Amino acid sequence: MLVPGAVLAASALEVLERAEEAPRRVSYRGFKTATVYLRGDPTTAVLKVVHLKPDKTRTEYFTPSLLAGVVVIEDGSELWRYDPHEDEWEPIHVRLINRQLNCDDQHLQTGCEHISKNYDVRLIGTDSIAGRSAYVIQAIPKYQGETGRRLWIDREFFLIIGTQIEKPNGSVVSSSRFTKLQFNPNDISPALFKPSGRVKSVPNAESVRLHPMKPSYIPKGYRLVGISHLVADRCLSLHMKFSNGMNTISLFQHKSDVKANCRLSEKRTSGILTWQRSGMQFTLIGDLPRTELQKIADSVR
Amino acid sequence: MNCKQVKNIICEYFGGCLSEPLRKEVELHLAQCFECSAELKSVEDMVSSLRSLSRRSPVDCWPGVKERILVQQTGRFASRWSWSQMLRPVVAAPAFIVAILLALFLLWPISVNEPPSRGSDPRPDYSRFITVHSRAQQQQAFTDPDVILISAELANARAVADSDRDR
Repeated sequence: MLVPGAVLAASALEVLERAEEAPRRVSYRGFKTATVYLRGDPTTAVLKVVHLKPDKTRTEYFTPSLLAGVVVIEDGSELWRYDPHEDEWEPIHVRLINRQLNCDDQHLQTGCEHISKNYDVRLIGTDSIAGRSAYVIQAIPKYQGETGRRLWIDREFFLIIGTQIEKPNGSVVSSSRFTKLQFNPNDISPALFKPSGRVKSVPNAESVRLHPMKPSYIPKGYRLVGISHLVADRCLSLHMKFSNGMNTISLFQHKSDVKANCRLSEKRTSGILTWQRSGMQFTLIGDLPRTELQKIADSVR
Repeated sequence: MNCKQVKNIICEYFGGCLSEPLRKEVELHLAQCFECSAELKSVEDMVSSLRSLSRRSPVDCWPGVKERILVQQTGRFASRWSWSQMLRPVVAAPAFIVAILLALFLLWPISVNEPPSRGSDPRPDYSRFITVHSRAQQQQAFTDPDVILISAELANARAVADSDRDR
């Protein structure tokens, strides 16, 4: 159902503000499909998501075959990924270090103000997804090269239950929606959010020090929103996140070290760029044109 | 506990993730309900078929192939060679040099700046970063982290396949 006439952008931002808070306020369990178009070919994934408020989430991937059996668990700052081929869980310890790097936390915060600077946000109507009534929000980018968004937000709990990313020409890049959804079930076991089975051991990497290299160029509308350490497979990496409110770019950096099994082959795949410089290995991931990723990479010093 | 409740947590039951009292309740229900038992069986079947999706050849033909090659080689060597011929200097000297060169090649320390071996699979390392990047979306932006993870994994797999084809 389309909302007639002019609907205030402010109300769309209010819905988004509540959507940002929703995962911290509501538990849910459901099945979801996600379709991704790579070079025009669609691939659909089926997954199950269980979320226990405020910050525990377990995601199980059933299809495509590449991801079948993969499970990702988040428990606050802890993250585990289960690889069915290895039959083991890999722990990834993520620790926010904004203050250690003299970054002002307030400056790093993002939110709807940030979104409204970079997107025209409109409430364009209501729709039904998985038997739930949802607001439909459209976000049109103000800067060239960025993708637009369409979000379906549950009218009762304000959880985002459907997403669609669109190119400026209107073609769909990806979409996702819940097919079955239950809010606040009372039988979610906390044991779901701990790995069950063999877990890779991770030695303490506290003593390692990294001197971060920053990009002098980031695309218009983006800003640094967080810096964290992550430790996985004997490798300490630094993770810088840049966001324009809707889209996030990640820059990972760690020391090149053959023994630590951290080194990646140089690669320029869609959305991922890796390179080595000054004894460091860098990985840049983001939904941006290749030329933009390359410009960021070239400016890292 | 009714069928709807059991079906909602059947995967957790199968994965051994339920608390003891809840597990007993599910077992009690499964013992009485044919439909839910069938649901559990279908989950078991699906997981076992997923586990069988290994990276090995779907047909276990390599032991047979190897055996046949060995049989053919042994037959040829038996008809043309003998140990006394192997020990002749004209054969033994080049073989010794080749063995030394091979040992040097295998034992020589690898330089840190050398590119990684082409046979190495970069997927686990990328997977780690892709996982962290996708979850970062959840904290900061209105993008589905699962879509980010799936699209990055697919792009990465396609790049790995392309590079394999180029070799």
